[in-house]
Amino acid sequence: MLDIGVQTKNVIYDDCPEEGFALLASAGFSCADFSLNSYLNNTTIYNQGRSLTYAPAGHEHAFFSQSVPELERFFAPHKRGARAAGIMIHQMHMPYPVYVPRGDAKWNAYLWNEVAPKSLHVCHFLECPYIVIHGFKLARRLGAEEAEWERTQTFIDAIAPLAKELGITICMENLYESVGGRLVEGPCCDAKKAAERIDRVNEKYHAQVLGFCFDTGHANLVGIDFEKFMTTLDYRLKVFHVHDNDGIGDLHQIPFTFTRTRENMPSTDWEGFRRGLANIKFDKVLSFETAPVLAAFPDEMKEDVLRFIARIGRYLGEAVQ
Amino acid sequence: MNVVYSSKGIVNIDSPGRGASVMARAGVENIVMDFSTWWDDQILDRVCAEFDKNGMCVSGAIAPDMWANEGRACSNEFLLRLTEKCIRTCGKIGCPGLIIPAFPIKVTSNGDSAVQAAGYQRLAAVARENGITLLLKNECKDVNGHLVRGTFCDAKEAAELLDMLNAGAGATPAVQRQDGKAGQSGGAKMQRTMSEQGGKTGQSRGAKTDLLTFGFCLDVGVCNICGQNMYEFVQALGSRLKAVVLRDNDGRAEASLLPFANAGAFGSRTDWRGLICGLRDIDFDGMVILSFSDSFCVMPGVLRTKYLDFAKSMGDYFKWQVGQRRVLAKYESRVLFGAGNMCRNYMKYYGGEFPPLFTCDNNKRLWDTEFEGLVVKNPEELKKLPRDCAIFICNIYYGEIAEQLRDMGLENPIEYFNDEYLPFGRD
Repeated sequence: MLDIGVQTKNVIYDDCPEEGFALLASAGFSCADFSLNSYLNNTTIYNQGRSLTYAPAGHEHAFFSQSVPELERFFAPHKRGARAAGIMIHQMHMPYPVYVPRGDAKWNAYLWNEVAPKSLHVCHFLECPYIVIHGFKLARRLGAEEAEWERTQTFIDAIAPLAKELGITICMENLYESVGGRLVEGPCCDAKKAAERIDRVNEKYHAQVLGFCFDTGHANLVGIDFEKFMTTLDYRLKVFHVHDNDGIGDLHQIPFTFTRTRENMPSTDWEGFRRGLANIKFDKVLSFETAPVLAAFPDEMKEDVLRFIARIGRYLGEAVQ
Repeated sequence: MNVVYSSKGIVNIDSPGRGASVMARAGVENIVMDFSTWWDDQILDRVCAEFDKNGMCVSGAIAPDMWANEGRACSNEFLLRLTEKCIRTCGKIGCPGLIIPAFPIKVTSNGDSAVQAAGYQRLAAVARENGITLLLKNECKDVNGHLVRGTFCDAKEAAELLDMLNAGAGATPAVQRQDGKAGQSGGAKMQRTMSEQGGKTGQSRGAKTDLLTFGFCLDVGVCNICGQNMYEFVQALGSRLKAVVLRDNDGRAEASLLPFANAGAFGSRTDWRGLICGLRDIDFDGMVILSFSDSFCVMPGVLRTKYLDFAKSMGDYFKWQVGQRRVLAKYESRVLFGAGNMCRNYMKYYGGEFPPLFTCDNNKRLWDTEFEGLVVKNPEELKKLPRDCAIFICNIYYGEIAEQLRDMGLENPIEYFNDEYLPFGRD
């Protein structure tokens, strides 16, 4: 049976992390996707990058200006809480993006030189084997997807030695971007290219420094064939962001939520997803990226919702047996 | 590049002459026939006769996709025979390209490659006999109402399959009909390849590549629904791309709307820049099929004629945009007219590769100054140019300036530069 995980956002709180981890355990999860990106969120990164004002140490946006020992001290209760509840922190999300196009150079340098390596240190401290990153969304700016990848690869090269030293696998995730407000394919939406690139990087470092995070919601937005994509990536697929949407917005909802016909059959190809899992004999953790669900439901129902998500995880995972 | 207009929704079976004459009046010369609309031989002959009477060529055709039309599977053999009949019909009416359904993949659960290859090779033999290029097309797959990437939505895979099929089709390429026997309703105008240049010269690069048995037809509507990067899609296909179905939709449901219909608060929601720049970069010289039956059908009757004129302008616009680089490369020397933003963009994006001798402007205050490294001259200086030096107008008032140049008695080629869809990479 596959282990099931879920985002810590909206469950684990800094003032009493052990409570949240205990809740996850009682809801049927054995793993967690640690939402490190909550400590420097996407909107803040873009706003900061474009405001041309560098966040000095001590500023509310400068969480990662703390030293590694300070960060470790900050996350020590989280580590203890997870351990006490028997929850493994299986994966985490590095704050993203780590580069703001046309953004302030100092801020970009901060993201690259401070936030990224410190994220790896936190990941290591929490004994988490996988960290998910976002590739750079630059294809339209640079003229070609290949040029975009070169920039992402430069970033990976910058952090791969440390990842190797700490025994962490960096996982790049399939993304979307916007054309006139509509969501279209972004970095890492070509499974064949991704597989070749992962192999090349790992060969270069003689270690599993790079893997893939398959995001079902992002894939659904751009009509990617789940089964084919997963099967192509095969063993390189290390972690998941399982969630659902209507094929239009990145809603991060519970699988099997959306339909488009009167027959009310799911409009997301969850059967293809199950076949994909079976094809690659996936044996790691099925992790849900469904924090927005917990924001939508009343707090009183949080545990029930978590239980339901975990149950769906077990159903999806049964495909592998 | 040949702009071709879909007659679907415009020309009907009962009175094909009416629709055909309206299309002809709008200036349409090339049309695409959808065989699922006109399957009966007699109807087909009648429709073709009307096209011929109105001076229009059938430059492309679409074979019926029984799976899509009937919503149920039919046998490989049936689809093969149906498609073979379409190929022969194309041969008969002198239509050079046929878009065919991805038939064998649909009836074999996971795309049995042996069945697929055998089916296509069988069609290839008939296509060669009839001098037809078979065009594979990207298609959506329906997941309970959600359209996702289906057959041939992976451009690289499609390119590999096309290469394999063309290699398998043998060293003898499809023979272009040059004997003047265009079939019952065909005249000399029917003897064209899918690219306009190929049709004119019969020897151009476009014509040569058109001789391949298999090519690709990119359906922009499908790419749009699947949120695909059209620039990358086009690049992956390269010269295998022989036709583009130009249509817009809302990115969710199937529709054939005129381009730029899918608008939102932030502008167009369809990646036209990716498509136009992609086609430019591969020097596309195939057939662009404007498919807008849904837009046309909702037009009030009294506006339909004008709408067709507009659709014709849309086709001309794409031809102009896609062919921009080709036009720049056509001339040994060139000058610009205009010393504003468009000139600046010309110099930024094309100045290195296609350097102008100078620019000129009607604004006297700019004469003998320098702009973007160019001397700005009095337009009168244009009279000193050798006749073959092209004048590229870099100003949105193309018509007025062109008239001014003609009034000056200039016989130099006059071209219109436009900076609406600039190449990627230098933003």
